[in-house]
Amino acid sequence: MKRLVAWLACLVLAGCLEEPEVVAPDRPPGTGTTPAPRVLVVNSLSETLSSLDLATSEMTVRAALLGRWPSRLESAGNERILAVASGDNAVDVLDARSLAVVHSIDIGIGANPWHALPYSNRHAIVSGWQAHEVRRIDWVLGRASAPLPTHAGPEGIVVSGTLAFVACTGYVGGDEGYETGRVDVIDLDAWTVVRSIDVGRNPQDLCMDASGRVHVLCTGTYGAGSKPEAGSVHIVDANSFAVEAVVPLGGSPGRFVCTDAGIVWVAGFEGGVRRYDAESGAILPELADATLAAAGFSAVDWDATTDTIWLTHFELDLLLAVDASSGAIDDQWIVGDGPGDVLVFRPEN
Amino acid sequence: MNLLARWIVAPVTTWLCVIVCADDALALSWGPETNLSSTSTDSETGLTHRPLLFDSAGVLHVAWSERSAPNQNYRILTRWLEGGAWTDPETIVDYFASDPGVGGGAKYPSLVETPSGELHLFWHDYRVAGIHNVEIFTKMRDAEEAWNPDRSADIRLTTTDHPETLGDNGYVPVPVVAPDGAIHVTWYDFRFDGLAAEILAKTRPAGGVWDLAPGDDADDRVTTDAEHSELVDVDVDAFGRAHAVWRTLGAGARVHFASRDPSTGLWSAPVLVDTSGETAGAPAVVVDSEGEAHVVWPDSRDGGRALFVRTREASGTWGAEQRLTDPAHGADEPSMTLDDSGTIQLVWHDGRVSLLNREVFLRSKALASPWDGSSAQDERISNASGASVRPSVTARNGVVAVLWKDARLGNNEIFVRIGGALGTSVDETTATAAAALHASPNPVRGALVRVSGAAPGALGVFDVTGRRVRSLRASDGPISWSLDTDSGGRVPPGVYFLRDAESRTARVTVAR
Repeated sequence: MKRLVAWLACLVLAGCLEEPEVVAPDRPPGTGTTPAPRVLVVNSLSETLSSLDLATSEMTVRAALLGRWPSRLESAGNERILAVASGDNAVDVLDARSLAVVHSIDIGIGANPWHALPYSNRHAIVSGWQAHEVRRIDWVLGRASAPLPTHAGPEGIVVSGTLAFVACTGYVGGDEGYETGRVDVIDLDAWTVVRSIDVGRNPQDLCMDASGRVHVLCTGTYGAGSKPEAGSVHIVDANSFAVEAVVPLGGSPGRFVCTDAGIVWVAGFEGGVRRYDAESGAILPELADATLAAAGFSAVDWDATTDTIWLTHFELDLLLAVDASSGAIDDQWIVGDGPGDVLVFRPEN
Repeated sequence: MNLLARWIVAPVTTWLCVIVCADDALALSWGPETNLSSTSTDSETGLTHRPLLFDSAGVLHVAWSERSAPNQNYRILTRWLEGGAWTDPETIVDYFASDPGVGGGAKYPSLVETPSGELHLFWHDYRVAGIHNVEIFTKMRDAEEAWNPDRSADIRLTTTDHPETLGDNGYVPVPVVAPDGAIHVTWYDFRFDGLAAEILAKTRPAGGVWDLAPGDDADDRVTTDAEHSELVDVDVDAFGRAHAVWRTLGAGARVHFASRDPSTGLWSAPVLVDTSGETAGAPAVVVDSEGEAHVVWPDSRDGGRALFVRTREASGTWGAEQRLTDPAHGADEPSMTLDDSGTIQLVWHDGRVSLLNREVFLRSKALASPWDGSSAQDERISNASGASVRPSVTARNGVVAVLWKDARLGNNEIFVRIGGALGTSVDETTATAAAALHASPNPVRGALVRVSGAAPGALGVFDVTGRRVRSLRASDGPISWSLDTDSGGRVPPGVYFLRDAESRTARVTVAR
């Protein structure tokens, strides 16, 4: 009931929520140091956050408690981290030093938020997987605005200029499976859907390559259905919205990351870790370390500073550091139960 | 441990070591790893702790679920090892193409045997309404009979419908059989809150039937809090008290424990087992012959992850926590069983070989021995090129069987390995198990114990002090012991040991 009341109030006050643009405080009063660079891991099953101090390589397995059904993490400026708690229908704003919750932003009953991506120094766009909508949140003030409907099952988001590309999985229920996968394009200023792009089945994640093209990771149907569809990547021109190429990855890839070197790294529960060339779409040879081809990889991020690929393995509860140039495993750490997302947090000085 | 228990333990363990532990109990001889599923589709096991068992005749039964087209749903298969050979895979719970759901079907089977030799299978099933109403099912087969794969043989144990929770789902049933034959099954269930499951339980009384009345009252609610509870394990003591452990999320991942009083049918209030709040994985519990409940769980308090154990004495007093493994190895998914000799067999997987290449390990704890905190005596069970996970273990008459899954062949397959003091291969080891001395029913409340597997010649019955109370003579085929002594009276209730002419032993409990 508490959440319902808040949601109704939000609807009534929606027009009042557009606060005048203010500059988010880069550092809270009384603090003079930049938060330490870390690699953060969402442990989906134990609902905890693990933290690796990049300066000392010290791993804290349970650095903080997260909300129910935690999903994705994003950096929000130098001082904040957004952690989505799907089961709580909330986006938790964490202090980047203490990892304590500063705000818990209610996204609405039944929204099942998936991804919260900052696009300004105070706003982020949040996908509501079960409510088939996106919302704008103010992570400085801790408020959410009225929802904007999208196609079914929105998950991953990427922002290019004033446009947000939202992967709409088309998931409409356990028995019906997936309708056509689409990417809804949202004008962040006008706060409206300006285009929908048909892509492959079950698009879940997006990234933008060095030339500005949007890569759409379509997980496929996990081999199910009378006409099972395998995973693929659809590469979209961010200006014309045309699908320029399709990379037939196969398997059931779940997450990926575009690097500045023009290589896209893919993590999959099925199919393991794979790479392809962002420009040509050519799938690169398997990595020399065969253990990276095993099933169970759940998330990936890239550290541009050290050219390191960070991977999580869901079933083995591992965080791995892989040298992006050699493909060799540099190090690995045990994290909490069921790691589902990884974030390299490097505040700018 | 109370004084009475101490008084009993000393002579029992002394005697056990005379007649059973002549060889080092840890020095098992292991057969090869055997792939039981051997298909191109994924097979699934684990979490239920009971996917395999030796029945009272020494036959090893295994059940697992296997994924199939068109909807990637699962069906349940079984094989058993009898006379040194595995039977062909047999589907005992099928699904239909018209069944709702994708990636569901029938999953996480577990097996128990009653004193009368019935095998009972439990699983959770998506047939009712797919992901929107997963229910607990069971079916049984009489001793020596075949499984009936027809759905008419399946019993839907949970009957509720809570559409308001958007998922009235029960998951991962774990059964256990009390000495009197009562069956307790525990699982976690989202019927009250679609976001936070509770631990539920149901009991089929000895000689009775399942309560299948519609509604929540047919099931016992073990937890009632707002936190999410999951991944339960359960064991039962000689007095019929069921002891359950599970993981609770909310303020970190914690281990909780509760017991069911057989006289009232009520579950105690849950108590917290771990003190750190750093639990990573699911706990396991086993109750030894002295009534001590041993709880093992993965814990990250020291960085990395290690197994910890804490023992609850029969009096209800909890001992201190003890770390069992190296945190750097990342141990996870413990599972335990109790051998007839009172030895606890603990299995888990860890990354001591490589964190990406987990292997299954086994550690034995004799009844009177403390838990060994070192890895020196660990037995490495799996030898796969990929990760071996979700291990379970069963043991009988000195033969231990370990089951797990790994993807060494490219997809998840079910593997089993059998060890025994006398076995050097699967066939020989199994033959040992099948031919082992066996007493039934056990515990015995009536007037007769049937003894099978005895070598021709003298068969002695000894009490816990080692005193021979009855001299029998075995020939070919089973013989009976009328619970009498050589002097003509009936033996008092307690634990007795049978020893045949080849020094094989069996333990039998005479109940009041």
